[in-house]
Amino acid sequence: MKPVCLVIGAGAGIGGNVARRFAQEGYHACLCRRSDLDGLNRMVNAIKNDGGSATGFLLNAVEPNSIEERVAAIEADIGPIEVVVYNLGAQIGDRSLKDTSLKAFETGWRLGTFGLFRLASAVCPLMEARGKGTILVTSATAAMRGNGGQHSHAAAMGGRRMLCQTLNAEFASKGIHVAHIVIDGAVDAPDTLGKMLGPERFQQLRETRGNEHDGLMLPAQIAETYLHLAQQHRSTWTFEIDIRAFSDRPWWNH
Amino acid sequence: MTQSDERATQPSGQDVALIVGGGPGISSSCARLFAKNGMRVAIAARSADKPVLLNLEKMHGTRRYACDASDPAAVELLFQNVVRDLGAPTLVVHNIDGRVPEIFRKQITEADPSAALATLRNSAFSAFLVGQQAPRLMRENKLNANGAKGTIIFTNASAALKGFALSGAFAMACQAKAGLAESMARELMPQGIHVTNVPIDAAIGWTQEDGSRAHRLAGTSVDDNMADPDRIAETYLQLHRQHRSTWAFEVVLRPWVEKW
Repeated sequence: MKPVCLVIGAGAGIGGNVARRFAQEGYHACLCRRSDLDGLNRMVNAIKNDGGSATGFLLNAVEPNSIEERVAAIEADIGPIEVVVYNLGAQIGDRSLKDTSLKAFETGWRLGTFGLFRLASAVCPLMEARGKGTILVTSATAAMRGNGGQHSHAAAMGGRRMLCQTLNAEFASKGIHVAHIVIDGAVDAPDTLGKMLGPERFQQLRETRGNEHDGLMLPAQIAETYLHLAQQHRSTWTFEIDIRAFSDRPWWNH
Repeated sequence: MTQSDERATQPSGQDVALIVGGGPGISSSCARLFAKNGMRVAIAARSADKPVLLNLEKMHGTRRYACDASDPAAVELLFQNVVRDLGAPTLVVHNIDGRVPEIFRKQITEADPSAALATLRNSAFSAFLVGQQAPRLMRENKLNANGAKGTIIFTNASAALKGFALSGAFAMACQAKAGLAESMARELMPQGIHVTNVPIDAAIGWTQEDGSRAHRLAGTSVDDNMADPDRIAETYLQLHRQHRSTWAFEVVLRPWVEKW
């Protein structure tokens, strides 16, 4: 039975590429995303055509019990979850305080912080019983500083970062490696950035900053760092890592 | 701005690594791992005739250089010699702790100013000197397959993150080094040179003759409660291999059971 790498938030960006990279490494990849069954099937089939094994699930992380039931079903039907990647974003673009609704703020928290809490509550007992596990958490510049217009996102990601710290404090010495990964720049991800900008502006951004310019973070390259983190020996674990394109201004210099 | 047309298509087999600060721990582990991965490796230490360095030369073909890294002329000469012998470096690791024996566990009121200054010179000032020479050469390197001209890694310590009691001079040195690394990252990353700061937040236990891992002061490692330098080297190599669209700056390494 292959160990499972469960990815919550598997679009065509970081999530899908991390799933694919771990599948190449011999994991059974479980890809979860909220919508776009066709896109999900394409990613699962691409992994299978590569010689890897994968299963796709539609999952709405905001719904009660969705994460918990998915974790239980994977453990029962597919295999032990050795690596879990929490990759749900909560970026809604810059909005002033008056344009940030209560609903938008609350949704940010549900996706940014509460979903991770629920996932951890579901997988940590299993990983603790096995004495090992890896929880890789995608995060953002907003976890490090609250930029203008980022009320919902920064609160959600700041909460995510602190939750990662408390999870690490409780579970590192029980064999669970928690890593908070600060994605400190724009990712070349059609399903998130691409949808936020629309096809025309996204294409334009790729031409001016992406492609051979390497100014947009390439998700397939990001996946290499996720894999390295999961492979770190327990004598030298990294809790937090910040990555960005070489040409980008890091969060501490904004 | 980009020079993708000039970029190599394969990971470079011509990688030249220079490790400044050489002993039995991280530097030896790096030298072994880098050599195994096809790099030509140079290692510099105040005394180049230590048995551990002689052994690296014998087993892995590592070139040894004697260098007082706190002396500007000596550091300049070191880089010239490495270029002459191996070629321009693509990976430079600054791996000097820098503490002089008299500075350990001294109250601020009793620390000898000259010992504090020596610690700063050995650590942060030598990092500056190495950090100045490396990019002068790396700038001229061709972009490798990852779009990089070179990598500069600063080994750092817990004191870069938090000031401990009885450790004022070392805290000054480590935080100075971290600030230098951060500034260099901002300046050099857009030029294609990857700069990273790697605080090792633990005692480092290296493999002894009997196979156990131990630290000179902290004793023997039990259940991986000390950082294994062979594993530290793996992260250094991964940092060096990161694609320029996804460069890390700070990577703290600590054992799973370490309190922080």
